[in-house]
Amino acid sequence: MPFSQKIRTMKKHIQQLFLIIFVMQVGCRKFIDIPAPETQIIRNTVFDSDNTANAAMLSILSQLEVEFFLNEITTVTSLSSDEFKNYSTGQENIQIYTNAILPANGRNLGIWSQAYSLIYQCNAIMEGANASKKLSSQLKNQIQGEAKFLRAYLYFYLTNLYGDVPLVTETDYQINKKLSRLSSDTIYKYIVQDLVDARNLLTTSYKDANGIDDSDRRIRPNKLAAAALLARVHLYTKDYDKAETLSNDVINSNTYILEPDIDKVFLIDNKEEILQISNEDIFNTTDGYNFVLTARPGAQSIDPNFVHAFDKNDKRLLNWIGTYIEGTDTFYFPNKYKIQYASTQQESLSILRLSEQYLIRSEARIMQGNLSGGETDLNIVRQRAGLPPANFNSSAQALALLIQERRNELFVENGHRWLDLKRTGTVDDFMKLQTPSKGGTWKTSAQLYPIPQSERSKDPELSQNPGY
Amino acid sequence: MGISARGIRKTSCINEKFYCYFKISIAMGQSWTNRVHRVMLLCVVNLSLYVNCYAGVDQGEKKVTLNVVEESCVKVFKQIEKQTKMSFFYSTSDIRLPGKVSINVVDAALDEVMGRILEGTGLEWIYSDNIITIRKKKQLIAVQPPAGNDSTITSVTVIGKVTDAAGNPIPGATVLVKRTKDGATTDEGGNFSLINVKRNLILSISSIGYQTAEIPVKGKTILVRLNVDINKLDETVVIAYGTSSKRYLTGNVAKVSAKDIEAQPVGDLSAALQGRITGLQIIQNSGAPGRQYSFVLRGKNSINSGNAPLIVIDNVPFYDGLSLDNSFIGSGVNSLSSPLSIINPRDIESIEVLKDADATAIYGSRAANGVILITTKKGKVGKTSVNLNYYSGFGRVTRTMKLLNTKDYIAMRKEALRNDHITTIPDEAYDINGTWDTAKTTDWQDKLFGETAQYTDAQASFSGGSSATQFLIGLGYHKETTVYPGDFNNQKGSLHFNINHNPENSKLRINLNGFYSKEKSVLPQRDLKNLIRTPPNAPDIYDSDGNLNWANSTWYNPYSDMLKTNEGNTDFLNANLDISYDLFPGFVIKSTMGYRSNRLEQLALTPKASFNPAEIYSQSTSAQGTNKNTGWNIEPQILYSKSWENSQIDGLLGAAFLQQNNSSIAWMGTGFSNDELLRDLKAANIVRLLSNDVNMYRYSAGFGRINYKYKNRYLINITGRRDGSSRFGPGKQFATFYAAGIGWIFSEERFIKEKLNFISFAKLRGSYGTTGNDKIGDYNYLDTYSPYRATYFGLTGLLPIRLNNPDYAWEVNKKAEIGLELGFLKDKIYISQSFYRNRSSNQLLSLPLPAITGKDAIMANLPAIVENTGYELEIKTENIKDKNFTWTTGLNLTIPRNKLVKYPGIENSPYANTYVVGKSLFIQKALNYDGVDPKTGEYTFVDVNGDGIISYPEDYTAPVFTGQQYYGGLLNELSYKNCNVTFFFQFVRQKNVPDYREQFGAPGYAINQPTYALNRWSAENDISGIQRYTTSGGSADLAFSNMLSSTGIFTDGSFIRLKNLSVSYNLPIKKLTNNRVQHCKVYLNAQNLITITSYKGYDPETRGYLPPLRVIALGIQASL
Repeated sequence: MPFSQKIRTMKKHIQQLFLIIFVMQVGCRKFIDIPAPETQIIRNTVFDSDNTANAAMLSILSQLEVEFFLNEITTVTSLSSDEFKNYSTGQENIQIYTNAILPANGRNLGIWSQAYSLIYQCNAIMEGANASKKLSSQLKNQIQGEAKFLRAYLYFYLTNLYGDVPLVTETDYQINKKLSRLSSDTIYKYIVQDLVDARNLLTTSYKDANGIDDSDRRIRPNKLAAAALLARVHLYTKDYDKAETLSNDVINSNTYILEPDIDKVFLIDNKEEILQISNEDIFNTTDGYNFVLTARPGAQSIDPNFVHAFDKNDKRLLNWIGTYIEGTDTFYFPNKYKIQYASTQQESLSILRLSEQYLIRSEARIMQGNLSGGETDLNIVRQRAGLPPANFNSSAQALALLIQERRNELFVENGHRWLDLKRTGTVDDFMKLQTPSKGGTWKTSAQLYPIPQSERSKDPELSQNPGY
Repeated sequence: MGISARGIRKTSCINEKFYCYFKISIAMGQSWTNRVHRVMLLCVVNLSLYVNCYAGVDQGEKKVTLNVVEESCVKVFKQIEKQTKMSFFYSTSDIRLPGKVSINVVDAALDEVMGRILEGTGLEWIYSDNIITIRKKKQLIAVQPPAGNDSTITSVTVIGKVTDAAGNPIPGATVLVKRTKDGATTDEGGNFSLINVKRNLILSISSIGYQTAEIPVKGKTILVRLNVDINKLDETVVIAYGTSSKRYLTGNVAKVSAKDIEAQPVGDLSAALQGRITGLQIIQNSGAPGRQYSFVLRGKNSINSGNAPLIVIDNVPFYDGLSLDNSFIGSGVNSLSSPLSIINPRDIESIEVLKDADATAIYGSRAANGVILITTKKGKVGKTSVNLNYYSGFGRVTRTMKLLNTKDYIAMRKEALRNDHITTIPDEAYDINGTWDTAKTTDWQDKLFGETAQYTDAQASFSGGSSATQFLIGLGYHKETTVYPGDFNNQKGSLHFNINHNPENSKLRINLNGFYSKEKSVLPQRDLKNLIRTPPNAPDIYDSDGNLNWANSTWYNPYSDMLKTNEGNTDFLNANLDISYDLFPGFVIKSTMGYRSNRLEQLALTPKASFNPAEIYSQSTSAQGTNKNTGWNIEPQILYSKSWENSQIDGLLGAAFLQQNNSSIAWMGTGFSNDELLRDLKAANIVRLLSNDVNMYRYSAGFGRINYKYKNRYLINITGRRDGSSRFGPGKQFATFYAAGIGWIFSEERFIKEKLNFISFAKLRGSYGTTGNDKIGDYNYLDTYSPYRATYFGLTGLLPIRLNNPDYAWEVNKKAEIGLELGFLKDKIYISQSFYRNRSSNQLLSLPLPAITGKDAIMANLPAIVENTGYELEIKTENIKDKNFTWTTGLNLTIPRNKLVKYPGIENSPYANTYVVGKSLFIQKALNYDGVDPKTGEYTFVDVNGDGIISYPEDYTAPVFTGQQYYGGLLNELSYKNCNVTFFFQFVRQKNVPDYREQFGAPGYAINQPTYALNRWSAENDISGIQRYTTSGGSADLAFSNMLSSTGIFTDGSFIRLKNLSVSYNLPIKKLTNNRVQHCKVYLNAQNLITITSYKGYDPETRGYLPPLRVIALGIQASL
């Protein structure tokens, strides 16, 4: 092999090397552009079609029940109030029961973070629907209205449980991660605005799974659900005229009637229902699953003293409270939801129902001096419970009767009892007697739950409630 | 160019790094022309002389049959002379032959016989024609008898062959004419030739791993046999994309060899590495088999992202730990399974741990936390040998605690009620209200983990082959049961094979390597540790009918957990094919192709029988899931090697393409009509999908390395890599990493050699470079929704998966290291010290966010800098070494320091109350414990801000260092004749570890306590370290809860563990079996034999989980 040829061969080899390196460089770039994930959908695409945008809304409704959020609100507040007796030896449960929740309590953190997780998803719906040019206006209104309704619903509980809370209105974590708490008043203003918007966006009819067609099931919020919740909110903020007007709208809408048969109030097709949340996981309702006793209670059951205060003819005592007897021991449990476990859907968890609206209107009327109007509304509820009508003598007596009626009608249901005690200002006097019987000592500061400790460590702007 | 490809080079140096891969050197003259001519010429010479050379080569393979007992050497030599027709030649004045010899062989190779006779005598032998010359080692070897009487010719062409003691050719050995510095390297067949060599000059023949021989040129043909060099410094060390030796490394690479691994009766490789490598901290999380170990190499670099090192098995990257987590099925005991558990420890040849930038930068983006290279065993030349090994053993937990007996327990409960002013015993206090027998005592520790775990391990391997093709087949089986009651166990079976084809005079080399293993484990669904807190007077486990006793629903029967099982089935296949081809002189092209498949099936069964029958709503469930993770990689490379005048350069240029696919699916069936049908989801009332994920990960890289050596004492190594990863968003995918390492072997300098010759080896090395980290999960830059598990209104919902940050980029880890390695007295004492500093910046992590953001974390870069510095010390000494007795000691010590150097804006970050700038990441901000209030009997804490209450975060001001101050191990190995004893101590210094209270809760509740609780406060003015008993939430409960996050909870968790003791005895069986059994050893191996600690709790390492087991195993190993 002549030498010059040798050199040429070498040159060729070197050229080949560089060519290989070049090809590799280009190859590298192409190689790592991977296809979109097979089990995920890019966010922008979600709001490109009615189907997927609707699906994003449905999962929020679903999580309320499936992730035990609604049940947790009910259980924790019922332990805090006089409704439940605790049987758990878990220290976190004992803390809740004895009104001595520590900032590190995990159940408390669960409520807080689930609420905000759902609020985030509502905000994402709002932003996605706003930005989308491909959604039908019908669906856009429906899911935006629903998102606003739910956001208001969640803030309602947050501010009632924690007082001042951060107001998250968009999905940008850069902004959200350092929010501080806003006053409860501000939160309420925002809630009202959301519900007003929701009323405007939603239709009077209930919507089907697809968010467009009408349906008989009442498992998606409609205009009246927004009105019903707004009535409650106005009651809480003592805007009694507005509360009356709105509950009036709901009651007079001719959409709902009180179920004459008290056993049918929580069935899926009951006529009293304003909004239910369906659970299509493995239970009918998380309440039925958690509360019905078939053995000695290991977690909680209704405090016997709470039961003993019912009129013995009250159908709600007879039909909505179950008993489990073992030897000489009798245990009481909430039995509004009778089905503990079944694969077919017969019951659904109630969020808003008509009897509450009567009670709201009654209270609003009493507070505005219309005792007879209040009496009529109250007696509608009493009558269904099989009780004789009540007579109002004075505002104070009327209010006391009303609160007692709310206790008996709405017990162990969406935290009504605990919230009522607090908003009516009776909580201090009442719990001072109640807490010692639960093995604790009442402190005024226990009215508000603590801001979870881990949250404060992650967002130093979050202040703590007094007393923690 | 024919065989001239392995031609001559003018001067050669030891090409230790690449010779075994390239086995090539290129001719190098003053000019190309010159070189080509010389190559051509030698080509002819070489060819013509091969025949000549081979004629006299195989003396060492001549067969000898001997059967002598205590015979004199001279007589034995006579027999050999008779059988081989060869003559012995030695000088009785220069050497002393061994005294009496006993040997019994049939048809053994002469080499082997000679090896045995001269073993341990400091003598060696060489053959020249029909003469066996015996000489002292390391001296001039073998004077070639004059060939052809042409002693007048002053210059000859020398040809020769270099082999090892067994007669196998040594390719790539350096043959150097000492005075002229002319030289050559041997080819594949071990042959070399040198032209124009003056007579009586001395040839120096050397190769890595062998003792250098020096031979005067006397004739034309030379046969040199090199003895294996025992110097540890020259052992092969596997490095990234190649091999090297401790002597010439510029980076920091630690090695654990098969011998150390095999002495330990462990099912999991991770346990075998504990305490043995400086800088590598391995923590066992639980004593249950198959449980995960945490690996941290040189500290915590990332505030909360993956800190685990990259693992590469035979050039195939192991899955990166993110994806094969079986927690998708729920909280099984093995829900975090150990990644290395699937690998049969007996298949491992060596494990190398690459620590500094120089060693790791070539793995670029994935090397921030170091790299662990696992190399499996390879076939060896020789007749087929069969290796069998079997052991059987038992294990029990290392530590238990003394718990309250019933009397003390009842007293505690009653005192708690009194303390809380509860006068009537509550209805649900079954333990003291008369429902349960208050005279009964059950030792729940014994009932729940008091069994003896059985270990069985059997291994067989077959290996052998010609010099061109070698093979190895290994089979293994391992089974261990647990200390839990019930039929729980972990079983593994494995098949390992290796074929290496490397024919003489061929340009192509092929190596195929693979192993398949299968693991099956059946364990309880959760660690039973917490159930030992069951009150001692709890009811009987079984009723009179032998069913689980629920005592009228008054308790949770701990044995119901034995029925809730978690089965894991793992399949693992790892295969690798290396093909290399000699392109042209000096260049080799090569490609590594790997495939790996991990498949995990898990089955969590909760039968109806495990529930209290009174709880009629309890449903049997069966969760089933499969996770499949496969990966392939192709890494083409070009290798280049060249040497001249005192210098050697080795280059590497390569590319890597890697893909990993992960898919997982999990289902849960609920409500089975019959427990027998739990495995069949068709029998379930309701079946729902728990998860379904499909992920893809791709990675590509271009990399290069240049290694330059001058005079074998100045070393420089430069590496670079450009990486792209699909885990980053568009525009952020690529990053460049680099490193440089330098070394100076100053023991080669004249001043040491002449003045300080007790220093046999001294090397100063340093390195600096960058690496990255992409252990962040797939698709994290995408903003996506995925289906929600439950339907609503009959439709499947969509759920946002994550908060989205498309802008995160690579984090950078800068590593610097200085090392000093010293060998004294012929390396009898070897000391290696390293100082390192790793700085990790632009931290890429899942940043915890407050829940108000909607999620609890987001992937982001953090402006923080974390620094890990440390000092690592290794000392190896050969204390005694003589014919019968040797004693060696190895000590390793690591003193790590971790520091958060910088974190702008920490006060407004999620870590404001967690970390402190200037302090370690291993801190916990705690309350300042202030003793038990003698009045109230409750724990008290310093109210730092003086607001009257203990509040977070204001009063949490004490930063407690919870990490390890230092750790290491001490290994001693003694052997006397056929007996060998090794013992290995692991030690860890950690001053602040939470004590038993973290798992027992406040004393006074219906949970049992250790007897430590008896020392509680009981009356006013009592001074005590344990607060009063309590049983209802209240101030005492709050005080206890505060205690858990105060300075008071920490106790000294330092420990010294006799981690391993191994005693073995080599049976002198070869003779008895007429050579059929080459080697047979019986042994006793023990693990975790003694633990010395003052820790108050179970085990300072596993703490809240099952303590490690003390395992003692007896075994036998034989080679046929």
